[in-house]
Formats: sequence, structure tokens, C-alpha cells
Amino acid sequence: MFQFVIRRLLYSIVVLFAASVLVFTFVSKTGDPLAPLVLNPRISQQTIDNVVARKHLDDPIPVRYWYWLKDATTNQFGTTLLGDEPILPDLWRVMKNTMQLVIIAELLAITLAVFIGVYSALRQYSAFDYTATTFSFLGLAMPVFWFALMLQVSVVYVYQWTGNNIFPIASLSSVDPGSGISFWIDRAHHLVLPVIVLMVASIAAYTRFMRASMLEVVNSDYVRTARAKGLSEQKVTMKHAFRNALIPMVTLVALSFGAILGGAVITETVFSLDGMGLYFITALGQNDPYPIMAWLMITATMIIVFNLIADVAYGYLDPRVRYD
Amino acid sequence: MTDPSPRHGVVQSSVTPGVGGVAAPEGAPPLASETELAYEAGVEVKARSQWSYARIRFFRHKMAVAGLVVLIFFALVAIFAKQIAPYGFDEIDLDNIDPTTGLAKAPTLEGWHIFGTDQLGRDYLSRIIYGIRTSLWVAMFVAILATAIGTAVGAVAGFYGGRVDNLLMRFTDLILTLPGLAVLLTAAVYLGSNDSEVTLGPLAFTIPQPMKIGLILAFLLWVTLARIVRGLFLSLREKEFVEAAKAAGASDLRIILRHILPNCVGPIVVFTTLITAAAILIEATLSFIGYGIQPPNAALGKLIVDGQSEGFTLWWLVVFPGLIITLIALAINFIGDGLRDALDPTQRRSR
Repeated sequence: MFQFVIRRLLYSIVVLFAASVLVFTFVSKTGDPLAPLVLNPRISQQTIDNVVARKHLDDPIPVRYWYWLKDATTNQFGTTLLGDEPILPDLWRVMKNTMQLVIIAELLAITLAVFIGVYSALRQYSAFDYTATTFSFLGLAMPVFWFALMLQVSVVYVYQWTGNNIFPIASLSSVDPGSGISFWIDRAHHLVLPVIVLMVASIAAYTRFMRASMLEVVNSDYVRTARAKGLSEQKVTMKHAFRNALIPMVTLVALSFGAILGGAVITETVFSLDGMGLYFITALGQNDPYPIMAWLMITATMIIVFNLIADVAYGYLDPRVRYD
Repeated sequence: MTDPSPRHGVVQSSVTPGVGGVAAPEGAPPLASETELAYEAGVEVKARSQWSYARIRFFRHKMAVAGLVVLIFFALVAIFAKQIAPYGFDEIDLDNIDPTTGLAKAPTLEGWHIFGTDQLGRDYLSRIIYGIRTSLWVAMFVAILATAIGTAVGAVAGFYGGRVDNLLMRFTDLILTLPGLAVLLTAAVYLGSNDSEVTLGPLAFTIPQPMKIGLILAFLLWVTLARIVRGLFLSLREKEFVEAAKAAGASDLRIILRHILPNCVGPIVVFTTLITAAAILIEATLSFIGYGIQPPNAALGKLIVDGQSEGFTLWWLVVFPGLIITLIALAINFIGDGLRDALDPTQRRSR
């Protein structure tokens, strides 16, 4: 077990290295990050030369990668290409915002999905089951960005008809959100639509999974044994079936949570939320490799850590699993 | 040739499998004594292959059949886009703009603008029809390419095992640990927004921009399939019929293609439908963010983002393309569900 974790972590370093080389090459080879400076007549050649010298833009890409690696390990991911602003403080800020959004949405989604999935499985082929199945199929087939836009369109139309602005459709806070309680009420108001969007995507997938997992357990031999020895139906479902059906769910949730911490790229873009996803998209638009690299390292590390957590948790919850 | 004996739970057949479990029925398998009794009693017994059973199971799944009908409809629309679309894709007609309000036409039967027009007076139905064409084309390209790569890699890794297996699986690990959308986006930026001229020795050809998006998608989507196929090969290569084929002197390639692969067709076909649906959704998302399919190519995702920039007041510009994407993805998912029921009888019906 200990050996397993160590080996996985060592392997992760290789993965991170490969990923960073790949993405650094991609981003550095595309577009010219200096283009906005060159076009601006008020910026002197001297300034541009300074940027080039500071970021070693004249050197070949492997050399620049080496400079980046040095910055990343000794200087907290260094600074942005044009503004020379430190990257890490920005990254912490957007990470905090993304956490708020993602944790609320995921907790709600998991709770609802477990309830719906279990109930669907216990009443297989009932009206409830068919409705839940239809909606989760719909949720999986809908493009996330389109669903978000539809919510925005509805809000705008409600505003046109009634004059009421029921929900804000962009950004995380009002211009003047106040402080203390009123700040958090304002934040919650802004987060309603994004949370709904994130939830719908997750609920659909989790419900399908939970239902399948519960069905498998309910039809297994040991549940029949539990019934045969005369346990009450409630004890059979709650103690024997439900607890075991949750095990694969833990893995799935850990895996998708790791992935989603990199920012709900789509949701944050549509609602212009100052989170990890929008941070990445903005940096990509500016052809600035340095914030992108910092973002990638943090996101990939999250994915690796949560994958590891998923595997370890599975082994802990299901003693039949062996690590080789 | 040593034909694998029919084993419980694995769909297999010596005829070339058709997609969707539709294939010509085989000759009569050896009849059991029950059938002889039935014959004596005057009941006609029809020989059914695994494939005709699969077909029957598939057509019993009503949603899957509905999905198939919808998909065929959209495929026909895509193929005959030029003949069906009432107007051209980029046909500007400023008569469609209301002179007093300056707004585009809302959906109306007049002039067949059933999906309305955009702010340049272009017929939205026609734009969507051409968008469907691109989307389905890219999805099909991705499905074929990703399935081919995934099956090949999985088969080689699973059949040979050892160092080859280790190397290939570490590579799939690498791709699975990357944040998918981010890699897609950087790769899309890297490959550029124009058609590419590629010269390979004496060959020179053009890669259209949508195909580049397809290549990137395929590069990410083959991975899970490779792992599934590898798992199947790992267990199947230990079976007696493979041993028998080896003893009969069959080459590795023959064993892989003729003996093991037909037993994996069920899961592969099911997973291919998942890849297709994913490809449609991801392509739309990329186009929406602005790094997907570029004009002058039509794309449903691009139509949505253009509609959004009109400020949400022209609802039809956002609603219809998204509705079409949802319908297509839904149809493919239902087909996949039906195929799973049809081709994988061991799996409990969890519909």
C-alpha cells in the first residue's frame, strides 16, 4: 500500500514533466504575445526589448522552458509575460472563487444524485424511475454552455416582461457588494445560476452511476441472503445494499472533483466568473505561457492527488481490492 | 479454421459484424433435441444467429429505435444539405430586417424562415442545416479514427502483454491525467484556425480546418476504449479457442483479427456511440469558446455564440442550434443504450 502510493507519486512527476513540456511548446509556438505591444504606438521599442530580454524570448524554446522551470520551482511560478506581475496571488484568488462555486454545486449534486439514484433503483421501471432516467439522459445530452445561455436568455426575457431582475447573469459580486453578511448574500445571489448549471451536468452523470451501482448490489447474492435470514427490508437496503453501493460512487466523485477543481471552464466563461477556468481562458487568449503553465501544474496536481485518493479510498472501503 | 465455440455471454459470429448488430443471419447452428421435438410436432423452427437475436433485442428497445430514426433523419439532412436548405449558408437578405425596429425576423412561416433570420437577414434554418453537416461530419471522423486507434492499441497491449503493454498503458495514463479541455484548447490554438497544407514526401494535401479539430478530439478520446479493449483481450487470450488456433498454426494477426476481435465487437460498438456523442458535444463547446471550427465553415456551436452576442433578445438564435445538438446527442445516447442491451446480454438491463 505504502509502496503503491510512493510509486504512483514518482510516476506523477514524470506525468507532470511530460505535460509541462507539451503545453509549454504548444503555447510558445503559437501566436505572438507581443502583438498588442507592437501595435500600440505609445509603447517604445525599448519597452518591448525589455520584455524580450526579461523573458528570454529570443532563446530557443528548450532554453525558455528551462528558465520557466527555474522560476516555477524557486520563484512561485514567476511573473506574467507582459505586465511582469506575480502569478501566484492571482491564482490563489481565482482558486478561492472556484472552490466556492464547485464545492456548493458538487455537494448539492451528490446529495440529490444519491437520493434519486437509490430510489430509482429500488423502484426500477416505476414512473419515478422513468422520469429520472429521461432527465438524466437529457442532462447528459445538453451542451453545458447552451444550458447556461438558456438560463441567461430566460432571465433577460423575464426582465423584459416583468421588469424584475431575478438573478444576476454575470460576475461574482455587484459593483458595491458591501461587507460582512450583505457581501455573502450578494455572492450567494450571484452564484445561483452558475451552481444550477454545474449541478445539472453532475447530477445527470452521478444519478446514472448511483442507480446502476445500487441495482447491481440489490440483485446480488448477499442481499438475497440478508433477506432470506429474515432481516427487515429497511435493514437490508440501508445496511447491506446502500453502504456497498456507495463505494464505487466515492471513486467517481473523487475523480470528477479533482478534474473540476481546475475550474468549471465553461460555466465560468459564460457567467464571467473570476475563477480558475476563466483565468486559463484569458491567459490562452493572450498567448501568455506563464500563467497557463502555473494553472496547468496546479490543475494536473489536483487531478493526480484526487486520483490517488480515489484508489486508496477504494482499497480501504472494499477489502477485496489488492494493490500490486 | 477453428471457430470459437459459442460461449455464454459473449456475442460472437464468424460473419463480418455490421454496426448496430445488423448482419446477415448465419446458417443453422446444430439443433438441440428440443427443436427436433418441435419439428415433429409440426412447429416450424427458425434458426437464429447471435446477430439476429441482437437485432431483435435492439428493436425491442423503443427509445433506441426512436434514436435511430432521428439520427438517420439528421444524417439525410446533412448529406442533402444543398438540396434541402431553402437559402444559402451565407445568403444575406436585408429585406428580412424590420426597417422600423432594425431587428431580425423571428421564426415565421413566411418565406420558410421557420427558425427566423439573424441580424444580417440570413435564413437561420439554412445556417443550422449546414451546421449539422459539419458537426456530424466531424463526429463521424472522430468516431472512426478514435475507435480504430483505441482498438488497435488495446488489442496489441492486451494480446502481447509485458513491456509493450506497460509502455502503452503508461501512455494512456498520461493522457487521462491531463486536464482534457485545457489540452484540447492549447492544441487547437497550436494547430491554427486555417486549413493546412501538408507535404509528406511526394504527397501534398490539404487538411481542412474541421478535420484538424477532429484529429485533436480523436487524440483524446481513444484512450478509454484502448483500456476496455485491452481488458477484454487480457481475458480472451487465455481461452481454449485461442490455444486451439495457436496449435493449428494461426499467425498472431489472424488470432487477433479472426478469433479474439469478433468477441469484443459488442463493447467496442457501444463505446463508439459514446465517443460520437462526446465528440459532438466537445466540438460544439470548442466552437463556442472560439477555438473550434472557424468561419467560413458552419458549426452549431459557433452559431450559438454568434446568437449570444446579439444580446439575448433574439432568443431563436440561441435556442434552435442548441436544441439540435441536444437532439442529436440524445439520439446517439439512446442508440448506445439499445446496443448495450442488444450486444451485451450478460449485463443486467439497467435501463
